[in-house]
Amino acid sequence: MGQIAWELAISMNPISNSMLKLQTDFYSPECVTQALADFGEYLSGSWELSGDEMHVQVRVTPYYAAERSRILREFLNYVLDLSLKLRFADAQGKIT
Amino acid sequence: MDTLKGIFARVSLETIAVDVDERLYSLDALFRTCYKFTDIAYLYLRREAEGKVRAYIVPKDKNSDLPTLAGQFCNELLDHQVRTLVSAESGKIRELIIAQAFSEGNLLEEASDREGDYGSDRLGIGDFHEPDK
Repeated sequence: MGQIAWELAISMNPISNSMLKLQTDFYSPECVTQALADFGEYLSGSWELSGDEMHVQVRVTPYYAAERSRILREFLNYVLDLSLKLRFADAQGKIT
Repeated sequence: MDTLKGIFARVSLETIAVDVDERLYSLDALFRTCYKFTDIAYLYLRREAEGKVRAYIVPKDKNSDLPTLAGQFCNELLDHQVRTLVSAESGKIRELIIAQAFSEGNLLEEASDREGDYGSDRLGIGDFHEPDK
């Protein structure tokens, strides 16, 4: 299941949307919203909560279609980074 | 899916997965490890079963050796887990030392504060002299 989710996230179909399944134990919903806004130049998307998972539909803008795989991976990393900062960062925004 | 030395699972040519047993490693340690690795790899976390989290790792540098990267991830995870344990054991002492450092009085021996005066110099601070030039 996890393998499928990961492979979906990096699958190379330039036409269809990608569905990212992110578990709320690791990925924070507010961080997904933040990341979608910050990545607005590269992709558009929306998400919905389904049990303990967020289903994030993203579509990389056609201009960056050739870099779709890298952009999706950067997006996932960015959401994870934001989520970890939200959990652990001190007043200076650093994780110790 | 190949299993390398019983620890890592290779998912595809460019992806390797590390299974993390939550009975051995805390999520805190896992998150801190992931935070350190997002500079050099793309990560994806997923709980595959109760008590088992799988970390999918794709190196940003295509020349990276996957098992080596996974090994570094495991070492870092262990390091953070030990830090968490040590912090839990010595946290109170560390807090006391810091509190003492910023305190004007003696938190450890309150009696000595009441009995002593500035002239008694119990800590021998006055014994220090600048060397002659």
